[in-house]
Amino acid sequence: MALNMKFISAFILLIGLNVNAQEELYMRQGLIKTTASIAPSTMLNRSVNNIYLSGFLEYHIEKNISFRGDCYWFVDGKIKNPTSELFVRQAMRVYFGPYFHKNVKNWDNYIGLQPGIALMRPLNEQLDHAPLQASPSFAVHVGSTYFVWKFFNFYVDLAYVSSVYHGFPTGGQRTDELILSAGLGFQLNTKKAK
Amino acid sequence: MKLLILLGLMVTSLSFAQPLKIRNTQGGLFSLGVRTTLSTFNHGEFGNTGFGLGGQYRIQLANKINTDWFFDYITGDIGNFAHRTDYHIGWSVLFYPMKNLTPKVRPYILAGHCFDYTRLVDNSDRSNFTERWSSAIQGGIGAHFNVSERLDLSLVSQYMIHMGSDVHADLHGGHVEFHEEKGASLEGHLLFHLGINYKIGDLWH
Repeated sequence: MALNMKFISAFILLIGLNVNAQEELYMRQGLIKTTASIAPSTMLNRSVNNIYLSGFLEYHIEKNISFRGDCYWFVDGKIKNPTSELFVRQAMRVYFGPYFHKNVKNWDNYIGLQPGIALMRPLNEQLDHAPLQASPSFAVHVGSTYFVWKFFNFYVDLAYVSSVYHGFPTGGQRTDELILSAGLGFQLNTKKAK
Repeated sequence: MKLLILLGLMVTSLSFAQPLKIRNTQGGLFSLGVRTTLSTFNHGEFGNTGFGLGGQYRIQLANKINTDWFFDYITGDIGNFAHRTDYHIGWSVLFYPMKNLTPKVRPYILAGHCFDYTRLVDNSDRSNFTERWSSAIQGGIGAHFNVSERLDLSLVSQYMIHMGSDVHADLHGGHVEFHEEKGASLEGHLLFHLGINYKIGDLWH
């Protein structure tokens, strides 16, 4: 009986060691990540939801610090209630800045701070012949990534973006949004694990 | 052009891979960065706050002396009847008073020169606008927060005084009028910057 217990314990330990040996950690310096996704947003100063095509490219200069560029391309909007009005006719948002990571094995959580620019043109119903305007903007990101394989990850990202469209007869119009993107991401390690 | 971009990317990626090598002093350190700007007290009123995006590079000349070369693009409202756009290009000298050369937080004093272009536009009639080219001086305080050997966050507060004609917008009888007054004005902007900088390497190494 005692021999059986020892055998079972040794077997469990061996399996545990084997599992540990097989788990490759993908978070390290030199990691490149990218994705493309459909990102819904809600405008914080009006009752409108927008849809963007979003994507990013990220490079880890250190295990816990990366630089990332994000791009959002406006597709369409939808009003939340009958009394509200759509606002955006054309928009593109571009951001670049550092991300700070805290990870447990292959599960990574992060925050990012990015200055950027919002190119936006409101609908004619909002402002007749409104010009395409480049407004300084910034984004704050929080998110989580789980690396499922050496080339794939699942992620979820929430971005707060802040900007103003100037030049309305009633004054500047805030165009802040919360943008959610999630799905499949891709990664490539440019350096071997030490 | 493509070759230059490729070469730049290669040099940058190589610099990421290696620890920062510096010769005897910090003189020669070259860094690149981006920054956001809050421009307050435009027209002497705190309410007309502008927000901007910019970039800078730094070339350090000695252990305690750095130079900061910047460009900012700032937009803001003037009440609800007009808006303004400012472009700043200039440089500042940064002096680090602390003896410790690699602290987590490195405070500094700065002063420098700037050239700027300002455009004020009527919200209800975009053909009604005024513009101005001028030069300015600025001074202030700041601090680098060293996140790693190469990366720092920098928080700066500086006052910029424009030397040239003062332009401002007023509402008279429902019409926007722009006024340009000759002479230097002490009504500049109080600017706050939050920047991120990455040390590429030692140019003198």
